[in-house]
Amino acid sequence: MSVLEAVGLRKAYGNQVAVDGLHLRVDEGQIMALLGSNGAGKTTVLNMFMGFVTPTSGRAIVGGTDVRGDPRLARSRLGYLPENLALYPHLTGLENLRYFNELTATGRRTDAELRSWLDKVDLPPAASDRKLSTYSKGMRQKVGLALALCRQVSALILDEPLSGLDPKASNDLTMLLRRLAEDGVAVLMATHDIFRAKAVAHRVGIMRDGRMVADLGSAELTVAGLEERYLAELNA
Amino acid sequence: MAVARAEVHEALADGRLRWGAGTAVLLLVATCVFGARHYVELHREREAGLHETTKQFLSQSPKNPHAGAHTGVDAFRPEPVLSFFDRGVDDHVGIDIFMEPHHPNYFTDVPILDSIGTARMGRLSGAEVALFLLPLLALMLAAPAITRERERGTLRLLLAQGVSPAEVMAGKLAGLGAVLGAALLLPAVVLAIVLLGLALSDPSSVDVTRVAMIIVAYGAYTLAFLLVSLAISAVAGGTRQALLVALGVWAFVVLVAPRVVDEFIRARVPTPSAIMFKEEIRADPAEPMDLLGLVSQIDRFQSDALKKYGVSKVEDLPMNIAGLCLEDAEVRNNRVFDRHYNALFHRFREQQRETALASVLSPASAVSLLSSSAAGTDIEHRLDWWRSAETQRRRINTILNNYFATHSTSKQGYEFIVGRDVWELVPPWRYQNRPGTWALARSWPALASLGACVLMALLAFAAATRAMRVLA
Repeated sequence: MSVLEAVGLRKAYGNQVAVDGLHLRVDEGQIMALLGSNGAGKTTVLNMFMGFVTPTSGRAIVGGTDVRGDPRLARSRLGYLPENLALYPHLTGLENLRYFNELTATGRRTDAELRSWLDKVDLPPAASDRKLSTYSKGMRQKVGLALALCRQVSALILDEPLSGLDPKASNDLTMLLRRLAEDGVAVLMATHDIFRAKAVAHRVGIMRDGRMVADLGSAELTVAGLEERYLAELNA
Repeated sequence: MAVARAEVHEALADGRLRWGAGTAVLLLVATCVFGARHYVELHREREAGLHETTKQFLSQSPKNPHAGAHTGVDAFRPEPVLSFFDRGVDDHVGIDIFMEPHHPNYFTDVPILDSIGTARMGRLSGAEVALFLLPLLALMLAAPAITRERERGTLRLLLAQGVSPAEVMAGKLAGLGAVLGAALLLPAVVLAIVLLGLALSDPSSVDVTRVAMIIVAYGAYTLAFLLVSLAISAVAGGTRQALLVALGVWAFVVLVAPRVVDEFIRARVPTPSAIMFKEEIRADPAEPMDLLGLVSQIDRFQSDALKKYGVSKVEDLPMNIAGLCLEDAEVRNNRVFDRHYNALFHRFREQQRETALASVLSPASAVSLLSSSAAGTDIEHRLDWWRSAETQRRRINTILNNYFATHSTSKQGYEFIVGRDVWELVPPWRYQNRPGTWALARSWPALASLGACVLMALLAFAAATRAMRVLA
């Protein structure tokens, strides 16, 4: 059953087309990675699913809800991790999590539950009570991931989620996403990391100039094959 | 609520805001404390003046009643309590009217002339600090509120939690309102202590309606700036742009628009200068003040009175024709003065009303009008005091002229001399400051304009919420 769906999604800024007639579908329990060079339109696609960018035409659908029609309902079903995540520097990791958690309509979680999510993304326990201004980029990314995950939503929108993570944390996240997918969560992520895309995703979409130029299923996914195809598409 | 709490937390953590708010609050407290001290001095001075002028009138040497009226009485204006917060026109318009026969006088004894040093150019009042700095403080807090979240990337995260833009904006408004409210707690306490101190010495001096008018006026004014600054923040490209635009709005609303409105109203409803006004009265065809006019009146009076009482000589009349004639001249003169003064006051009121209505472009003008009206220091209160003093002037003249006419004969003429028992026939007078409801009833145009400003700010806030820029 489809959780995330793009139907003829297009976004143009004047004469410049960022996304051009994109069709995609991410089912329950499926992880789809969008690969593409800078400016290919990956982040714009994610932003349209989040309702941060209004499509020029076409529809972004989350759990049957057109995002443009009811962005709030759509967002309530999504966990989100932006690229270049920046939380509140004057709050601790736990306080950031607590604050955003208080805003969700699904109800508050206890500090113990929130700590367990920080633990799941491998944030050192001592760090959760330190101000975010003392965190490294990777540590902030982990808090952002915990934030996206702890709401136990039906889909995740992740923009470069592995950026800034050390290899162990990156591997842990890969495993975590796999487990979430097994529980039925749909994941749409943008990444530059071909190796991780292959390791985590069930499907990989390659984007160029706002268009989906390839949509590869698991049968077609080998690291070498993916790299070769990716480079071929970029150079086409 | 969570957004509001976070906003409070963030505002308190911002050192620049702490300094900005602290400076504004200290300035507000200082101007109110100095204003209160100044009020006490002026109050004592006016009370002493009123006491002294009454004493001088009653203890004047025996003389003709009309000559006694010419001794005159000063109609000092009692200082309204809330003038310690808003001086209105008080420093620039005289606080005394000398009451004497034949004509009303203009305001004299301008307080600013009694000042020293830079205070001669105007004293900074609590109202001016509030008028200039409260909106500046509001925009300093609100203009970066959304742009900062956007630039930091946290706005996306907020919305991603299922929070609507309206909830973000409402939370910011509530949080910043709480911060401003907390910052103004100290001035509010100082104001309350000052008012309490004054109320203890004279409970009737403090009027709840007037205090409420001031709170509502500055509250609505600050709210309008918070709403507009947040609206700017929601759609601005960045924090620097938001601050610049908000500062531009402040400069227009607080500095430019009131001046433009004044010039516009002056052109629409012109009023004569004091010199021109005197000339207009002098040029009035009905003006009976010259000597020839007065002599012709006496002649007419004499012939009418001789006929009425069936006597052939003025000396045989049972009353003093000079007294009757003086009173008649007063009544006739007063009709002329009433026509001119009523027309002038009507123009003043028209100017006030049009300024109030035009201040829909500038809540600063509306707040100034409301605040000075609440403090009892606006032009309307001035005119009311003038009318009260003018009524007393006429009362003094009528009592003394009638006494002159009915207690002496024409044979005695101006040789008729009276003493203190006649001066005491004049009832004591002092201007009673009007109740706050009187000021409120006359402030509806300014209130309506301020309400319209808040409504427009709310509409801008709602429109900007819908058009909120999420991505940097």
